[in-house]
Amino acid sequence: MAIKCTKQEGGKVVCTFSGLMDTTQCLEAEKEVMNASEGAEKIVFDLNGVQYIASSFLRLCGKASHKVNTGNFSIINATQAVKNVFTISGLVERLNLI
Amino acid sequence: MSIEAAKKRADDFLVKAKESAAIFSQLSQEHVDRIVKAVYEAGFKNRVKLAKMAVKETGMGRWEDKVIKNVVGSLFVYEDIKNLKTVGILSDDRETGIMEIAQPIGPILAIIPVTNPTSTVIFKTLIALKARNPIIISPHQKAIGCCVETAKICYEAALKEDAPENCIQWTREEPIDFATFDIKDYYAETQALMSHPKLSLIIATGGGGVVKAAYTSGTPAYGVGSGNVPILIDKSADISFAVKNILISKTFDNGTICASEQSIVVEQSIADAVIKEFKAQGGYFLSEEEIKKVEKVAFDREREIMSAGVVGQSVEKIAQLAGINVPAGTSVLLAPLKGVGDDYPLSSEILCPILAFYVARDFNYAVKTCIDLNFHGGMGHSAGIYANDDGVIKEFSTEMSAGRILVNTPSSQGAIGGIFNKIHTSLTLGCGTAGKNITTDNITAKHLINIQRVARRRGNERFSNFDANLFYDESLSTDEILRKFNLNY
Repeated sequence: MAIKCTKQEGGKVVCTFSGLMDTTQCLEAEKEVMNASEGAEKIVFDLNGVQYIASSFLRLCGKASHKVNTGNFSIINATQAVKNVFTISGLVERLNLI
Repeated sequence: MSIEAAKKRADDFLVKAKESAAIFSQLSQEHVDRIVKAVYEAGFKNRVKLAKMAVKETGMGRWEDKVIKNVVGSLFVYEDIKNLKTVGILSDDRETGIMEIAQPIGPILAIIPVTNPTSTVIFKTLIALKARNPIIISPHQKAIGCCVETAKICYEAALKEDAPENCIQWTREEPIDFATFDIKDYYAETQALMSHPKLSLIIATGGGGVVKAAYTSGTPAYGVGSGNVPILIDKSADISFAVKNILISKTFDNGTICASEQSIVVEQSIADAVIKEFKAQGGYFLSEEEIKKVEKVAFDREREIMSAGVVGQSVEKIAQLAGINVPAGTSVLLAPLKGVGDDYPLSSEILCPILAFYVARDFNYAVKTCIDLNFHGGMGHSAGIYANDDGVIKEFSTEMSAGRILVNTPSSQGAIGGIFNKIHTSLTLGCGTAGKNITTDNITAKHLINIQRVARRRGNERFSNFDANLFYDESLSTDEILRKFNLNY
């Protein structure tokens, strides 16, 4: 599985992804993220080890960010190549890419 | 539709396209090639259905020929681009120190003409995706249904190979209801898309108006100038072969390809033989009275362009519209003309089976007539010659202002490449600066990438051995400076 979500103190959920987040992986990941983020106050996507993201991953980010209040969703540890994807698509600020 | 609404709509398309471009930027060559192959296969598989849809919706051309156009737009284009490298390092020359890297350019807006709708959608989609760019299809208002169906077929095939979402979009979902349609809405939408800051490039194929709009939008554009293709039959030509090939080309899809022959120019010495051959192969020479009748239906005097009503129509339909009788089985109408220009409407580009016919007293006058035709609305596009004398071919080619000079070749199929020659297969034919275009190339995937050049340090031996202070010395002559600059080199 290319994703693992852990619940932490203060309603924080950290989802760690790895490998190729293609359409098939994203479908699997979406279930995990949606389940784990139920009632969450803060969601963090840790992209350490993610080499590729498909369109469906951008959609998953958007969906997850809507589960919490503005500013309480963030993306960390993205590689430069993956950061470029968020930059080109104009989603860096909206998805709080750190 | 208000300008604000049009801008909002354009914004929606471009936000999606930009996200798609972002995903595209990560794709490997192997992944891109899988997507392109899938799209070509889907376009090819649906070639007959889409051809019939196009003819039914536009009322132009022949479905059998539109099938061939779809084959060109899918199979031939694919074969032309399949081995082209469009991702990553293209070349690395250790000697010059220059390494070239391909980068996608970003979202492309594709303006689709009514004359070649489905084939152009497949073609532009293939070359855009090959270069890792999302494409937005903007169909002509009279070809929306067939274009959208084509785009959907391509998109579904692309998604099956995990292409980025929205890598293919289309600006309309349903054919227009012309009872309530306001062309101004259409222009506003197109203008908003063309000038959107997130759009990277426009590939405009269509009438002069839309091409000019693309060039003046502020977004880089490849446009296609209008054609007015002159064909010279030289006395060294195989006349029967020449006439046969001209007819194959001019009757193809009822003459809707902009590279189709518009005028035939022959020398006096072979005129009778050429006329006889045309008649034998189904050509019908119009009388002066008939020419006047045909002019009225074929040329819009007010707008000074061909009448939309004859574009892509059969000889029978044109004869019926003009109120003239032609023998059954006539393949083209030939209009013997004495001059070129506004006083001779049939000397202009008319995309249907009508050919202007000129007899020149010698080769030089024949070339001059071709140049006049070239300058009368078709500069930079294409021209053709039938000859078996290489000197004549070279002389003619040097004199013409045309991006493509087709030799002993049907110009319709010759100009688009892949069938009769080795020029790149394309349905967007650059017309160079003469046609107000940036290139004379047949536009293809290589035009849709940005090439970065990594220039490693390589010394200029002459410069490093030269005392650069001498450049500041005005007392030295150019010859003296160059002698020292080139010393021992």
